[in-house]
Amino acid sequence: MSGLGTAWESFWFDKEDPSALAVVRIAFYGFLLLTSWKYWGTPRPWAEVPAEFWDPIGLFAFLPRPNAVWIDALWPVWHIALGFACVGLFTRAATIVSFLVGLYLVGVSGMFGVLSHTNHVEIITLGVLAAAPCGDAWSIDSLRKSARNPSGEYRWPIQTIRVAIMFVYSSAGIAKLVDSGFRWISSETLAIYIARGNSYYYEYHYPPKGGWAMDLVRAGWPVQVMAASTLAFELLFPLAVLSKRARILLVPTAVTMNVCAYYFMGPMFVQLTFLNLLIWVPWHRVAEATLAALPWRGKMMAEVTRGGEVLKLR
Amino acid sequence: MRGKAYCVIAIVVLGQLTAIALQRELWPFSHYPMYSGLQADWTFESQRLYGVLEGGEEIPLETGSYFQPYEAYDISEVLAKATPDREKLDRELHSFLSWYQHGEAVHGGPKLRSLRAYRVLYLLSKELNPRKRLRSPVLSRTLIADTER
Repeated sequence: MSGLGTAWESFWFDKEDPSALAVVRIAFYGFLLLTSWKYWGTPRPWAEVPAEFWDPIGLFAFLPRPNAVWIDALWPVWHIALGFACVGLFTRAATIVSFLVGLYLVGVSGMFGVLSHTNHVEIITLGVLAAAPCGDAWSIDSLRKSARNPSGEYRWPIQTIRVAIMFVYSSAGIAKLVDSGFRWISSETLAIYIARGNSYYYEYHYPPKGGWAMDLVRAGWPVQVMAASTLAFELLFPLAVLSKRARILLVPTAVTMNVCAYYFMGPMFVQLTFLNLLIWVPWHRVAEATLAALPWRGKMMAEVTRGGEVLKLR
Repeated sequence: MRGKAYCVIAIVVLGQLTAIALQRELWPFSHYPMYSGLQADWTFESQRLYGVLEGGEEIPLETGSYFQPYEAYDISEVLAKATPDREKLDRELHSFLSWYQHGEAVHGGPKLRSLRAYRVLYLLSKELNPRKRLRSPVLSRTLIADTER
């Protein structure tokens, strides 16, 4: 196999512990379950919007306009599926239902003329996990199965989610170059966007942002530096997928940028920020180390086998 | 396993590359154009709905609470997209009026005789202070559509 072929094979299919994917499953479905129910709420109000405003994009061109009865029925089904996927009970069916129903419920709010870009990566992650063997460890299903060994089938889903996140940032950088070129940095474009975000008239449904973003706008150069760093960061983000060293700098920068976008201009990239915190860190190793360090492990030691990933309490 | 994996990887990568190449939305793939347009002026344009009361007085329908789940920003975007197509804009404005009247018992807004859509140009300033929640001054207001009950 050529060097490039080996690198390709290694990138997607190096052996990985089943627990690496299990952590992603538990955290991601758990996060969706908690946040969608409590914070985002049902998309039912969209069923009341007049048909005149229905403006489907992409996959939704093949899907029907929502009605209240379907949404009332699908909303609890989705949350039950998310809960089952989280604990790993009937995992395969639960992840598929979570994806198919979530595709509709999460996406439908963007099909009435105003598309938010905050949840695309959430849908793609649901799709990847629906096709992945993410219930093979740390799940109720795994208690009934024989232990699984490390394999490439636990790596490609994680790598695919990383690539999807990479595309969010790099696409945003490319769009800025296509639409504005490097004048996006040299002009006052970012300062004007920040001023709009802080205008009472423009998007006043966002929470008040305190005003220090406008202090930076008045100072001038900090916003120019922010514009240059933003574009450089977005265009360089593909390195995070390829290099662990680059990841150490780029991933915390991504999280910081998402937080700054909220405080400066208003949009909340909650799902993207959560996925950044989840997908780049080997949390299964952290969990294993934490379990091994528990003071009561002599009596009740959590033994997480490297191969089987079955949680045994003895 | 490889076949399924490559299939998923191909959908994600090709879907996203197509959205980038075409620079258009292919939900759930996107070219993520947020804040990408060049801004030259310290102004911003917004499409606003105004209601005309029975007595002829015109009032701004500033909040989106009359048209839940739309926010005011969403209404502006919807009207802006419809503006190049006069017939579509008229239809949408008529739908907004019917929607408003249909929900009067819920939102408790005043009875309207008609609904108007304006393109409003606001002045932005570096001195803008969100701590004081001062409103940006209006530079101009242009009627773009009007509908009767």
